[in-house]
Amino acid sequence: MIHWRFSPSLPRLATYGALCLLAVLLSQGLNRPGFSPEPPQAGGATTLSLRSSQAFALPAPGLTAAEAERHGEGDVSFDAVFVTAPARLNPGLGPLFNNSSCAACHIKNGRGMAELGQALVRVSLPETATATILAVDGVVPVPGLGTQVQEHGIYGYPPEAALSLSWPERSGSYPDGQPYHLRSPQLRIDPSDPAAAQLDPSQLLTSLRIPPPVFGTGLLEVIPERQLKALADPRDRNGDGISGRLNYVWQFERQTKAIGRFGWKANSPTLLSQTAAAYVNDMGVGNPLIPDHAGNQDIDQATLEASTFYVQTLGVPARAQLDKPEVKAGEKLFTEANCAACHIATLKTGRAPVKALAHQTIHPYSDLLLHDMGLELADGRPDFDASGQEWRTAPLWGVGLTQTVLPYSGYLHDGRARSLEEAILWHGGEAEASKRQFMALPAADRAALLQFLNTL
Amino acid sequence: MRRRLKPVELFLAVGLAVSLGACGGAVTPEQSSDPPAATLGSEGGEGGEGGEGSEGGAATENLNWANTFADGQVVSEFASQVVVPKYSQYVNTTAKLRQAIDAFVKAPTPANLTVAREVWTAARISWEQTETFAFGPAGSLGLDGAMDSWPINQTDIEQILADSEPITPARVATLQDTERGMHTIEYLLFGEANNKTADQFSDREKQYLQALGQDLNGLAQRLLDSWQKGVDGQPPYITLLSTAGSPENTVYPTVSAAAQEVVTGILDSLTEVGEDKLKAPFVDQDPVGLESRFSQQTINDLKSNLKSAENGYLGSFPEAGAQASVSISSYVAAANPALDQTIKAQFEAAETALAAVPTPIETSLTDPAASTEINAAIAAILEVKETIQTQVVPLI
Repeated sequence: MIHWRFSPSLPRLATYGALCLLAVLLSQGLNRPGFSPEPPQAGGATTLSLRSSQAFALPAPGLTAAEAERHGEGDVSFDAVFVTAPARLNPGLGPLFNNSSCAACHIKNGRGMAELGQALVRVSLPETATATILAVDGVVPVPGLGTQVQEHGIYGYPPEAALSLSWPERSGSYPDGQPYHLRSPQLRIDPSDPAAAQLDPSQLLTSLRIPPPVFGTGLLEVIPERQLKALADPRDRNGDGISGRLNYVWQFERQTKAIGRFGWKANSPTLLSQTAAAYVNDMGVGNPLIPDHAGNQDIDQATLEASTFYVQTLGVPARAQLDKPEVKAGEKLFTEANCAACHIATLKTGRAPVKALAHQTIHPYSDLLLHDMGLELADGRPDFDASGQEWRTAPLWGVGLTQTVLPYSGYLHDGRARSLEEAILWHGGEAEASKRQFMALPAADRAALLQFLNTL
Repeated sequence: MRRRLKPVELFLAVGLAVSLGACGGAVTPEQSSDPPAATLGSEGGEGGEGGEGSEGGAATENLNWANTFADGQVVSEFASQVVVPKYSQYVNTTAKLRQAIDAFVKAPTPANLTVAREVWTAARISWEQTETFAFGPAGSLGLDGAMDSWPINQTDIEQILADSEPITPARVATLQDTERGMHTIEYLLFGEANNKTADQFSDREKQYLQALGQDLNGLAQRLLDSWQKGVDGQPPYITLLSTAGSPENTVYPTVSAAAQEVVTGILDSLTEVGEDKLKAPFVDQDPVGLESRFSQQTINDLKSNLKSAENGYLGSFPEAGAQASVSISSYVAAANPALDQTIKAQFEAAETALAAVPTPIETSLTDPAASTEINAAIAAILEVKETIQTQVVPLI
């Protein structure tokens, strides 16, 4: 055992000074994109080495017995299928809803499909002198629709609207002549409510959103705010063409605004707020934090917290195939194309109520900040401080397991990209230069970069 | 006394400094002004704050997957000898169920009701034996939910029965998952506790049953097609397993990933039967938590999930006489014959223990006289799981 005694001798101070300097250099080295200790533990001590469809669905290693038990209870809550009250099991669905359990959209905790039922449609109206943004919603709600279209109702309750989706395609080609095809959603909304049905369609702001993967979010939740603030560069002072802004959004448990971390536009600050909002908006299940429109609480605080805890304490899959030369080359190309400017490889968690999540060096490949991604990808629907062209950098950890966990699922906020390659090609705005650099690569290098992504 | 820093101390000192992220001289455990971001409300005192990661008493750990398994034939034969034949059998049982329902509706005799119930049981057993390969299209295409949602939405089902709108397969396809599928059929066919008689079926119930029978058969066929032929322009799922490890396969880029899929499927099936479907309702002493309580046949679900895990391990589908030439079992046996024998014996012991549980389990669950057998069955099932987790996982 080493016993440290600090005494004010000069040589001693010099030694500690040198040590501190070394420590700083070392920690900065660890933060440099592309550099990571072998093997990189994507989720720090909460990393799992599994690469099957269960890879997002297992508890984080290192939980205490009590935490593991709580995680198990949360697993049951996350899976619980709600039905119309009265019922002996899980009453409280609706009356309007998108789906009836957490797990029905977040299938195996992965990225959901771009199909109605899993994907949902957020709506709002433009801000005007008479139509004001609500602090809680961050948008102007639509009469008869609110901020999210619930396209299902329990018996006797007509859905808010009939929705239909189509996917027009377009083609393009790489500088080397290789063709590609992209699709984007075309959404049709027929509201049941007469007031909403009479709205000028051009006034209705809509945004199709697929369910994001939920694992690893417990780590992202405990990244200290100062770290995110340090990454933000709203006025692009360093002149690299990439800004990065924080969203400030409503935190229900504190009834005030806080830094947004979750959701495609970072419009949720904590997993408790996120979970409570999902219960009431997606399933019509009122809860102690956000009762439903009738003021009902269909679940208790313990159930709400159990589901939240389950999500917070899932493990993160480790990277695979680290020794493969193409993968190493792809990682280098990823860094060289400056993808890592936003998809930052390394962050560090701070303190956390769950010890296993605290003070971990993690590799989410995200800065959790909003970036202008260009007109092509824009939904044109502002969300709190996020503009209609801004999206939060999607974490890339586990992205290579997307199709393993949920075959046929898509990428980007609305699932329009059918492959990681298509997802890259949709990047614009601040990511335009990186995309162009990718497109200009020889085919073998493009394949290597994609192979690297597929090992995350 | 002059103290020299040894390399190990240097390492520790650097580690300490890095972990503190600050070099302010005074060493305090946490200098962050950030509030803890995760607000967990009634945190029960466990965990605490700060700390340097997990230490001591960890109850969850990273299973020791080897990531070296390279026998692609094991995976491809699992798909061709177990998955596809099993789904084919399941489709056939749902077709028979549909016919039996039609026959009962035409002539609602007690004998025809008995036949319809027997065929439902056969379809149910067949489905529960697919638990080990519930990955892939079953989840993605929403088929698992549409065929096997639980609990059912009794309140809405009664309202549907009470209205006058025709109940067609097209209408059923638009209903919630909790108003269609196997358990809704079970509810209508068996009553609340296997106590409905042939003369108690209303015309609306018969119409609903017929539509549900047709719907289920169609869903089952789609699931088989997704594996065998591919649906919605997607390749057949079976090819993803048979080409595991090839460069263009982004779902299973390594053979070991595909083998892990098979083994996690086995483990998941054992968890399902041991923990979720038996232990949870037993601990709660609440038969409402038993999944097939309307037919009072939850015991079949348990036995079938266990069988599914065993078939997955052995690479076999005994009823169809299908047997893979190589399997997880043969792979384990090559590395450690005694381990393979142990696992086979443990599967057999679990089956024996489960067979000893008095039925219907809907009654015995809360009967103190049956608790020894139920406890023994849970223990035996979780023992196989433990062996596979600790000793097979490090080979895959």
